[in-house]
Amino acid sequence: MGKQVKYLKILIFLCIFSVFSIISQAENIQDNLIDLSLEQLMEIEVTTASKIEEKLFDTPAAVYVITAEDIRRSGVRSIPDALRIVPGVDVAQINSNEWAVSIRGFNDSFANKLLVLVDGRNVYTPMFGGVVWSDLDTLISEIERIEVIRGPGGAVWGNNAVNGVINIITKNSKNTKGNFVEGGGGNEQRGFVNLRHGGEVSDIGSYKIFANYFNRASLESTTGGSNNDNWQSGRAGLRFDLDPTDRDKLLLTTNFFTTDFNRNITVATTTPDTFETFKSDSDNYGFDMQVLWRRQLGGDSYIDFQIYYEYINRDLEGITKIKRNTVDMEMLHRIPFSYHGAHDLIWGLNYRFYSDDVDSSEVFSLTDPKANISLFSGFIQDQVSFFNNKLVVTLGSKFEHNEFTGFEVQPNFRVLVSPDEKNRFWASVSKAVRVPSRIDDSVRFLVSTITDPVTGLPVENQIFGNPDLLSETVWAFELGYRTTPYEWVNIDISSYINLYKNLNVGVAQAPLFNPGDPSIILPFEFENDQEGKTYGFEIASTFTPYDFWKVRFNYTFFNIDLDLQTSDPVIIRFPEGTSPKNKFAIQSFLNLPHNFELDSTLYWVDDLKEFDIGDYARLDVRLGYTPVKNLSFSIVGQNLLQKEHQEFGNSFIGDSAEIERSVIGSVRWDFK
Amino acid sequence: MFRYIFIFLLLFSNITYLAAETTRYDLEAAFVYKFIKFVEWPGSFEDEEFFDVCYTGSGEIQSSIKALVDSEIKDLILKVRIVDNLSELRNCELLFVDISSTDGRKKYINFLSKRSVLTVSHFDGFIEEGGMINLLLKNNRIQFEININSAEKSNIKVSSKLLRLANSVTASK
Repeated sequence: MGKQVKYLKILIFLCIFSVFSIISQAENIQDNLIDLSLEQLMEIEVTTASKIEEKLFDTPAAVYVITAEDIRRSGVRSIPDALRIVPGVDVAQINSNEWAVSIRGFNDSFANKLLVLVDGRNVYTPMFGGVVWSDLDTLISEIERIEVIRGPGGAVWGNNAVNGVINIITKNSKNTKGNFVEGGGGNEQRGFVNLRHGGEVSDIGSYKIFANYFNRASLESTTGGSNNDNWQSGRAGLRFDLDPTDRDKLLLTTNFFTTDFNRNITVATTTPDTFETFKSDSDNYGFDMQVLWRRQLGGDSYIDFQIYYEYINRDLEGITKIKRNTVDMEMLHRIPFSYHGAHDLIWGLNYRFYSDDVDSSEVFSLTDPKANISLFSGFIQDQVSFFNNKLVVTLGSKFEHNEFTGFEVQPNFRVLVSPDEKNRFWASVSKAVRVPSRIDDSVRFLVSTITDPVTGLPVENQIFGNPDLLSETVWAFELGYRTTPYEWVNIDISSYINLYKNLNVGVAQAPLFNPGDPSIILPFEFENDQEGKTYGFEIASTFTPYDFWKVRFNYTFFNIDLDLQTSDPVIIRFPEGTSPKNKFAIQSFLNLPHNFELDSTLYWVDDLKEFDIGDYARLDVRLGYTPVKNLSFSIVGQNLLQKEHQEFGNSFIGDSAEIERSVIGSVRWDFK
Repeated sequence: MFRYIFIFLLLFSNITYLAAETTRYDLEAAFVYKFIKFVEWPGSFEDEEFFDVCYTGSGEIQSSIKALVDSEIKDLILKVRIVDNLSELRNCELLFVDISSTDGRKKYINFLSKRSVLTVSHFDGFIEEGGMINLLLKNNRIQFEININSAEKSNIKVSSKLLRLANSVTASK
C-alpha cells in the first residue's frame, strides 16, 4: 500500500509540472517544411498511414492493429505482452519464457486454433499446431505492425486459422535507413540490446541488417523458491527490398535465431502417485530464408510468387529433441475487374512440405518419429462492390489436401454495408478446420500413474494419438459495427457465435498389458468426441480529444459451453475455464511539453476457474524523454499494482511462475 | 485502482506538436511555396502587398495550400483564393489546378496561356496539356516536371536551380 501511494504522488507531481510549465507555441507543420531547402524537401518520404486506417474501417472482419508506435509507447518488450490490449485475445504468461495466447477461448500453452504469420511466413509448429512464442521475442524492435483478425481466416491464409490470425509485419528496409541502437535493462529484463543498420542498394532499393539480444531473469515459482526459468535469446537478420524494374518488387529476407532457456518441468513417473520436478536446460535455434516477388500486371492486377525455407532445432531436456526442415511455395494472383459491379478477385496455390525427426523420452514419444508431410492448398475469393462501395460482398473458399484427413473445404461469406461516411455494418458466415497435428496423430504421453484398486498393479494413464482423427471444425457467425461519430472518436464492436464439432478429447480405451512388464497401460486415445459453442462480443474504442492525447478503452465478453459426446472416462484437453469471461484495458498516451511522454495502460482480467486463479489488475506506466532529436530515454514500470500474481496453471512442459512487478530503463538512438 | 484513471483526465489547452509523419499534401504545398521563390514574374511587385495563390478544384490538398496563408514570400504576404470559374482568375499569380479530368484542366490552361500566371498541378498529363509545373510522387518522394515552353510563352522565368532539380524539363507545345 505504501508503494502505491508513492506512485500516486509521483504521478500527481508530473501532471502539475506539465500544467504549469511553459507552453510551447503551437507549431504548424507547414512552418517547419517551408524552412527546409528544396533539396531537403525532395529527400522526405511521404507516409500514407491514413490509407491503413481507411482500409481497417472498411474491413468486413474483426480486425485490430498494433503499430510500432503503440509497442514503443506501451513499453512492452515481449510480443505476447503487446497482444494483451487486443480485445478477444487471451494472453497469460505461464513462466519467464512460456505463454498461453489464444483468440476467443481455448487458451493453453499449446493453443492451436490460431494462425500466426511473420511477413507472410507461417510460424506455427506442426508438432502441436501452435506457436512457440519464446522463439519470436527478439523480433520486437523490428516490428512495423501486428494485425490481429478475430474470427476464421481460413479462406485466404493457411489452415489452423480457426479462431483467428495474427500477422506480424516487420519493418521495410525503405523506412529504416541509417543506424539504430537501443539498449536497456531492469530487474527482470537483465539486459537487452538491439542494433540495426540500413542503407541503399544502388538505385534499385534498400537493405537492412540487424542483431538483437536479451537476457531475462528467473521468476519465482508458485510454490516458493526460484522457478528456474531464466533465459537468453539472440537473433540476426538481413533484408533487401528491391524495385528492379517499374513493375517488379522483390523482398529477400534471412534470419537466424537462438534461445537458451531453463524451465522447471513437472512430469509423471512410472511410480504410482509420484511426479518429478526437474530443471530442464534447453535450447532452440532456427534459420529461415524467404524470397517474395511481386509483378504488376496491367491495370491494378498483380501476381506474387513466394518461396521460403526454414530449419528448426529444439532440445527440450527431459522431454524431446526435434529437428525439422520446411519448404513452402506459394503463388497469389489478384485481378480487379468490372462486371455488374467492381470485382476484386484473388486466387492462389500453395505447396508446403516438411520433414521432421522427433526423439523420445520416458514421458513422451511419437509412434511416427520421422515424418515427411506434404500439404497442397488453393483458395479463391471475389469481393464485389455495388452502389459506389455502399455494399461490398465477399465470397471465397479455401481448398486443401493434407496427409492426415484428406480433402478439406473452408468457405467464407462476408458483407459490408456503408450507410454513410461515418458508419459501417458487417456480417460474416465462415467455416474453418483445424487439421490434426503430429501430436494428435501419433503421440504417447504419460499423464499420471496410479495404483489399480483391484490388482494392486501400477496403471499408467497415457494419452495416445489417433491417425484416424478427423479435423476439428467451426462454423462462425459474426456481426460487427464501426462508427466515427466525431473525427476524434472511433468505436468498433464485434460479436460472434462459434459452433464447434469434433473437438479432440482423450477417451479411455481397453487397458493394454505388456508381457514381462508389471504395469498396465490405460490409453486415452484422441477421439473427436466433444462439441460446443462459444459466443461473445468485443469493443475497441479510441479517443483523440487533442493532438497530444490518445485514450483507448477495450472490453471483451466471452462465454464457452462444451459437451462431451461420450460417457467413457476422458482426459479433457480443452477445459472450459482457461479463458476469462470478462476483461478490459484502458490505455492513455499523453505527450507532455519539453518532449516528455507519459503513457499508461491498465488491464483487468477475470478469474480462470480451471486453475483457481483469481482476477487481477495490471498497471504499466512509462515515462519517455527525448532531450535531443533522435535520442530518447524511457523508464517503464510493469505490474505496478501487486508484488506478484499468477496468470495460468502449469503446462505439460513448464511449471507456472509468479508474474512480478518490474522496472525497465532503456535508451534509443537513431543516427546516420 | 480507479482513482489512478482520473489523474490522466486533466484539461490542457490546445498544444500541438510536430507530427512524426509527413503527408503527401503538406509536402506538395511546401513545394508550391518553393516554386514561387524560384520563379520570376514579369514586371515588379513593388506596389503590391499580397502574393495571390489561386486554387481550383476539390481535392484534399486544399487545406495544405491554405496553411501557406500569411507566410512571407518575395517581400509579400501570401494569400490563397478559391476559384470556381474562369472569370474569377483576375490577379492570380499562381494557379493550383486540382482537377482530375483532362478537359477540366485544359479549360484553365488554355484560358491562361500567354497570361503571366504560373500553373501548377499534380496529375499525370498536365505537362503535355500545357501546364507549367507538375508534381509527381515517385518512390514515396515528391518530384516535379517542368514545361519550359509554356512558361516562356507567359513570360515566366524559371530559375536554373529549379530546372536542375526537376525530374524532367519538357519543351512541348
